[in-house]
Amino acid sequence: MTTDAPSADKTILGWLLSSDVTGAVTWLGTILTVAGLGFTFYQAREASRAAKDAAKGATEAEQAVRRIEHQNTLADAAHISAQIELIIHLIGSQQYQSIQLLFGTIKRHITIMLVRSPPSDNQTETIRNNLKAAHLQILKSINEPHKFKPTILSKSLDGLSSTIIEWEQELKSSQQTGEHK
Amino acid sequence: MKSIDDLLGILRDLTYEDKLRWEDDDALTNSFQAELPKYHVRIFEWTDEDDGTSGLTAQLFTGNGFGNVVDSSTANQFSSRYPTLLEVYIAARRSARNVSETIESLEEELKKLKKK
Repeated sequence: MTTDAPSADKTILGWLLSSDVTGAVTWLGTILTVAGLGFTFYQAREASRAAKDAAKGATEAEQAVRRIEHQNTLADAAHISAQIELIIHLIGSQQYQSIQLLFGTIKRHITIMLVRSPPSDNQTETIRNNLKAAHLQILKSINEPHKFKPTILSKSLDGLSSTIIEWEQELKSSQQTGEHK
Repeated sequence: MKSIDDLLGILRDLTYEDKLRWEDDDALTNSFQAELPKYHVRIFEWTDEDDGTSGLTAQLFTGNGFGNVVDSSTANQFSSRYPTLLEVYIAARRSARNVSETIESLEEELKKLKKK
């Protein structure tokens, strides 16, 4: 083993690389650096894969939640259509107190549905306008009977019912194609 | 099957782009018509006399007169189709009543008042 110091005809770099001690240390350092770099790349790749798996899992969970919300909105839409038909029937027998009770529940349900699975802007606007018009007429039927117009109540409930049926159909077709908003 | 409802968006857009001009329809109040080479379109507002509620009707005719209705679409104010018809109706009224020119003229008058 030679530990000779660098002579004048050798560069320091040359000595570092050629010397038995410093050369070995340098090569060992290089090997460790390359190995360390490889390990770092491996860790980065593993972290990236874990992040992708987590994101995929979150997306799948979100989709599952959306599917359930979609299903709930569909069930609610069918239930609400039946309740509206009942109210229209009650207008004929002038049972306005019962109408007021039923309408309060329907209005709450629809408001939740609009947030959960929003329909088109036109449908949302129509539903909100019809809810407002029907609510106003129901209040008049009890508090100001002389101003109450049963035809407006019927028309607004008809409009509400047909818009909810349209919405229900669109939800069904988007469920069949697997698209969820 | 296609219907006049499929044309409503195009009618609205062409009107706002000033490529389709509407005129007051003398046959009815609150009614406007637009002439095209082979067809013409009319849109009007109506009121139900029983309860005061309103609605809109759009009609498509062949030729010049109002005799040959090809298709029509009606919606009362409670229908989900009403907002789309209303957009066309408002565009038609603005076109027929030269609302752009009126607003520009009014803007000028207001600017003059502001300078005084």
